[in-house]
Amino acid sequence: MNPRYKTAFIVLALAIAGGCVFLFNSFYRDAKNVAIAKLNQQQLIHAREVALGIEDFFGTWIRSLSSLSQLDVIIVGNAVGKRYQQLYYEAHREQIMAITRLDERGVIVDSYPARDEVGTDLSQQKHIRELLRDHRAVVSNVFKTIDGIDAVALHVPLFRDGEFKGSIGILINFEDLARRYLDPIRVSQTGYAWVIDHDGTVLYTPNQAYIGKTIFAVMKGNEALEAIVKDMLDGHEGVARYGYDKLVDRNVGPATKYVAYMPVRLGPTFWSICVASAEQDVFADLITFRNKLAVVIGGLFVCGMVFATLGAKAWLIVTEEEKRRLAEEKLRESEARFRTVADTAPVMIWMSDTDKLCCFFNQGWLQFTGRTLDQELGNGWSEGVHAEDLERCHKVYTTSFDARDSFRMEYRLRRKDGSYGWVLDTGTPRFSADNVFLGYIGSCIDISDRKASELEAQRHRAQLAHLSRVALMGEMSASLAHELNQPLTGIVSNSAAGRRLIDAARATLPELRELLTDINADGRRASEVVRGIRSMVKKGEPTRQQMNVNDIVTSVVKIVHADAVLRACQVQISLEADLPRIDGDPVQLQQVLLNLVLNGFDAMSDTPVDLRKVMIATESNGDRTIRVSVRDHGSGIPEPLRERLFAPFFTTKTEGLGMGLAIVRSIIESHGGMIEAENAAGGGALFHFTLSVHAPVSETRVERAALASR
Amino acid sequence: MRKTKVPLSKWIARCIHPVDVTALDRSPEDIVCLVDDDPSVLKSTERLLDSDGFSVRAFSRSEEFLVYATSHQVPLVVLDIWMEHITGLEVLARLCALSPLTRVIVITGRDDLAARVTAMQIGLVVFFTKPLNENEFLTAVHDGLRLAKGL
Repeated sequence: MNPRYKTAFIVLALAIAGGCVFLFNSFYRDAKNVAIAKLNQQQLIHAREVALGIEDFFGTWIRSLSSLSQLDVIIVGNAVGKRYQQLYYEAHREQIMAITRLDERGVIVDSYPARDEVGTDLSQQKHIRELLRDHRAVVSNVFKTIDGIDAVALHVPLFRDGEFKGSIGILINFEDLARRYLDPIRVSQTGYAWVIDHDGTVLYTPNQAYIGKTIFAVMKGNEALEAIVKDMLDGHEGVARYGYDKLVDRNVGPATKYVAYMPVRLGPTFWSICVASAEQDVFADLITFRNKLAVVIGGLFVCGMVFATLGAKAWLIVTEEEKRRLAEEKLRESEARFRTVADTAPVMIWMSDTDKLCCFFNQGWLQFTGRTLDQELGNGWSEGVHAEDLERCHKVYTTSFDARDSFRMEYRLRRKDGSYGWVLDTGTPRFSADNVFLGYIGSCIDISDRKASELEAQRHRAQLAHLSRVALMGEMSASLAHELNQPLTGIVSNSAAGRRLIDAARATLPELRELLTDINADGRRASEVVRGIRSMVKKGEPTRQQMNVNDIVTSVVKIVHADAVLRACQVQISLEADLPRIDGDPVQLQQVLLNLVLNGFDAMSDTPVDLRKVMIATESNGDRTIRVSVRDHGSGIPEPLRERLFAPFFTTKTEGLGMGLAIVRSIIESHGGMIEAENAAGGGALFHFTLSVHAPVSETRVERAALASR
Repeated sequence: MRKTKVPLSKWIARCIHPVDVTALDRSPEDIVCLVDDDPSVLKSTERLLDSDGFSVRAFSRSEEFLVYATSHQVPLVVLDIWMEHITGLEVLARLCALSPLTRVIVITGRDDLAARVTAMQIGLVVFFTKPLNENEFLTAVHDGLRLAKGL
């Protein structure tokens, strides 16, 4: 899949997943909030029930005791009163553990059934202090009696003529109270109730260890709980939650509790009851809901993904189709445009497929050859190529095609009228945008005129080179004559000697044989010299053949030998042994070297005899070229003349055409090389030129073919 | 041609050494020195001299000849003046200093007037142009040797 679509798909999936998670979260949060609200409400109801029950319980006792406190006998505390008290106790012994009469100083004046407590001063107890201060009914904290039973004391003040006369109180079994009102409280699994009095003393909690302690000691630094307790101690009711991670000193991990609290009004004082349950209970109920929700949302996600994928695919297909349609339209348009351009261009254009067969020719081509497109398609075009060029043409085409290289070639193509015209064909491989090879495209231009003028120029160059060679030979005529004279002298002297020996009858056959052999050798030597001169002087067309440049150098050394002796110059050579062979014209290259060496001789006319040396060196450059240098020990090249050295008609000599170096340069360039001149270190001029190991084959072959065709 | 050249050499010889050259006999001891750096010319000239009965001492290098000349008496030398290393004219100059009585026959590839004049200035010489006219050349050698022996 296209990476762009992949990214889009991932984004889509993420979006749908994000939506699902959001949905899930919001549903679940709502459900949770509802559950929490429900829990709070439930807990409040419980708390209220308990509060009302306890209020009612104490209200009943206070009312009951208040009515008892109206009796004078009780106020006075006589025997009748005591008897009443005893009866009261007896009547309620199920619920109360004792009945006690205190005087106005808080000292027990009568107690039933435990009479031995009479005279005990209770004024230091908290609730008695409140009683003595406020003269109102009080409820004590929960405390343990001597029997070890949790109990709560309830005292109602006694008045006589508006004067405080102590109180009458009962001891209520708190466990009984708790059992009746608090123990039944169970909200879910962990919900329970606890009760504190208005001082924060824990009155009741399922954990016995906390009872009687102050709540502040129990909660120890839990701020949320502290706020709740503060609100409870203010006598408010409400719901809240708090987190905790330890219970007393036991780590229980992070947990949250939801609480509902409510004051219990007990006459002038109050307790506060709190119903608490752990959060996990709320969630325990939610688990099923959550699982179902997860399944539903999961299903929604899967469906969403499936639909989104299908939708995206459909959209993709539609856009692709649209794109393809546009591209096709564009292609058709560009093809039409290409054909228009190709057909109106003033060149011949062809195209081939990957199978090397041609698949297109423009009008220019068809007009040139006068054939139809069907005739030219495939390999049909090659029927129009000149028979002499066909093989080369095919070779260049197939080799370049297989290597996917561009090529340039020149060949003759038959015109409409049957004559042949030269075309320059340039072919380039075609590639699609994603680099797939599609074949070749090429264009041809008619170069018949250029070819003709090129050949003309070439002929002029050859003529000029020939003239220059003839001139060179003229310059060397004296030394060449000497060179020819030497073997002739040998022949003449030898033959004279032979005749004399025969005349004197001194001749022996072996001696005569040797003599004749020498004559023969001298004759050959003379003919060699003549051939050498002839090859330089004859009017030949330039040729190309494989040769070793070292052979050219040695042959030139031979030719200039006589000249060197005549001018008291020496020629030294330094040849690289394994020089690669080159493709070139031996006569022309001899001409080049002759020119340079003779120039060297000329330059050294003022040099002392023992310094007159010309050095010829050959070496392989390693980059498929050969470097040949000719160095003399003359006066060197004056700097201002260096530029014009190779210019035609430039000469420093009194005789000569001034064409020598110009022709040298044109010869070197026609061999694909270049020549330079400089002053050598240590004096004298240094000419060096390069020759390609492989001369530009196609060009030279074309030239040869051209010459052959003329 | 013969009529013009031989009288010239004889004339020169007689002017300076007025001896009757015909009275002198050829002797195997009369060694002719030959100096030419071209092996083919050297060999053929040696052969030509040999065919006329001369003893020939051939040198392909002029230095060798000069070394030889310091330790031997050289009655006559046939010298090519167009040689590498030391030119014929230089050899001539040194030889004149070394052995002023030596007869010199110069053979040259071309009739170089400048060289001829220089040679004349240096010493007494006879000039021959290659290829050699055998009779004139051999006569000149005979004459030269006879003159040398006459001394």
